[in-house]
Amino acid sequence: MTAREIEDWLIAYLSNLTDAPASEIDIEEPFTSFGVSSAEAVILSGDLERWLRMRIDPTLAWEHPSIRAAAAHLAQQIAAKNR
Amino acid sequence: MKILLVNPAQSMSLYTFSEISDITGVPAFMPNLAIPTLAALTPSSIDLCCRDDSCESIDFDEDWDVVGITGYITQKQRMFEIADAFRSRGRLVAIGGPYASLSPATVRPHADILFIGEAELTWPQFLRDFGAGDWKSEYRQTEPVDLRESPKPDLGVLTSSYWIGVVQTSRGCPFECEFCDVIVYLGRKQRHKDPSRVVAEIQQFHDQGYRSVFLADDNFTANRRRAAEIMHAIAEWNRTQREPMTFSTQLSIDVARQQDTALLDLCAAAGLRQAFVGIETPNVAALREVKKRQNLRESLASDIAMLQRRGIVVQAGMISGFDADTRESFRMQFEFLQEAGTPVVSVSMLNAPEGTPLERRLISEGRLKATPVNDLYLESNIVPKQLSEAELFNGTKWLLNKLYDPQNFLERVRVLARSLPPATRVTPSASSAAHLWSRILAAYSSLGPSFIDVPRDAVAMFRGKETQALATALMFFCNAVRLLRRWGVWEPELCKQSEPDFAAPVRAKAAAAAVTKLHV
Repeated sequence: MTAREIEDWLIAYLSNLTDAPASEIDIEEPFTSFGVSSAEAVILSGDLERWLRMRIDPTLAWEHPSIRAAAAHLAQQIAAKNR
Repeated sequence: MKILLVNPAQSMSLYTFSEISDITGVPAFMPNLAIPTLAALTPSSIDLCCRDDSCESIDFDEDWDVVGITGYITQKQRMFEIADAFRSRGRLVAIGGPYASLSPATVRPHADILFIGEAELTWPQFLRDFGAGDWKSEYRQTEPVDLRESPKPDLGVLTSSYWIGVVQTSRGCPFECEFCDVIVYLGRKQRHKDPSRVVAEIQQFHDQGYRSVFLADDNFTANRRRAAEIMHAIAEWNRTQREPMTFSTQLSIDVARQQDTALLDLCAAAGLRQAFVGIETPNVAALREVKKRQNLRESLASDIAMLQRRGIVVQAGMISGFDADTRESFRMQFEFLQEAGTPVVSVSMLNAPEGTPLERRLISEGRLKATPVNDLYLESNIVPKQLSEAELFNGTKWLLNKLYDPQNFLERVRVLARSLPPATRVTPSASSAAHLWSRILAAYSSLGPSFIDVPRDAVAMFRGKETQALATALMFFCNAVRLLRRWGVWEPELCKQSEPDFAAPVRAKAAAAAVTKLHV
């Protein structure tokens, strides 16, 4: 799984959550700028966990607060696991 | 002189979050202010130790000159166990607090010294008497204490962490609800602390890391002018905090006035997010019967909506078993609450506490039962008027199950979410919020398949709204389901029935020990 694929998944997820077109989801913007609440951020990390089939800390959106940062972190973790 | 002050463990309750320490991460919901207040009244020359029985163990064999025990009616069983255990070891035991003040005859056999009434003046008097070797067996405060003279609670004696902090701004309530023991104990003339003192006490909790405080007043908005002054001071203070405080309190529904919304607007601006309101019942005849005149409104549901539209989420306290209640009343309660959209609901049977006008009326009518009541939710000391005891029990059990059916709970969340204002700040303030929501999700997974999706569905309904009150509602719901299961009255099949099964046999509740630990 590449960072790009994770970014695309997160874009689609936030687009669905916010009812905004995917083209308007800026991957550099913090999750909070999309109105993502703490509860939604934790549910997001749970959904990511199921999709990627790996343990993800519920604080992901706090520690890696944008789509680009979160995707890069997760891709790095996946690569480390597969090494 | 060595003194031990003890706050006994609470009996299991919907409001003490006794069943969800896996979510809160702390053993008790909030501190009992009696302990730090008495500590502040105790000279530093005295060797003082304080224990919260819910949070820490008590060494019954340690040597104390005096053991002081406080407590509400919900603590009486454990209060007596602790008192008896210390007295059997030769310790001198003093008991005070609301229960001792309201039921001195019941408490007397367990105490060497009894404190009746507020203790701001009598506790220092006792300490002086004890020091002189000439103490009395009873200290009684008859005149209401001026709250401005009450010292700032000494939080330094609290050795545990709690879910929320607690500050009292007033005592007493001007109303005269027939079943209320607060007015018997604290009177109908409301007394207040100065706003600056209230802020100083809030600051104490903020300094200790708390970001949520319960304003433990009997009726916070009974005196609208004073409530506004306090809320104004709190709003000013909160505006300067990098991490503001949110508040919950108890108030009466007459706070909602179409022509005067300034107080509610101010409460919301100050950070009031949740309010326990004794709604009791939508049955007007029942409200008249118990003199709950402040609830005789054009529409209780509209009044609730007026609070919730400002982001003040109502926690509805309901009562079953009024004289005017019939077999129809349980369904009426359910339909009312679903329409009002109050996810947090407690239902308890009407009880007549000692010293209340209701107790006197029932004695005169020959309808007061002698049996002691240990659980105020599903037990009553009243012989109901238009219902049999089995009908009252089965109706209340049906209502509790119906209200805490996952889909019915979510329907109330949906109504609430629709009325709440948009969040002004959706920024996750701290990663601790992530851990809290993780624990909520894990707790619901453990409740069973029909509960797993409840938090997710509720959060989806709350899109764009502040989720703190939702977290509380989900915690309350989880606590309620676990509690009903422990009491042996969780029967999900009841939710499918549109009416209670009044003829069902009254099964004894599971032997739910009123207190969770009995180390004596």
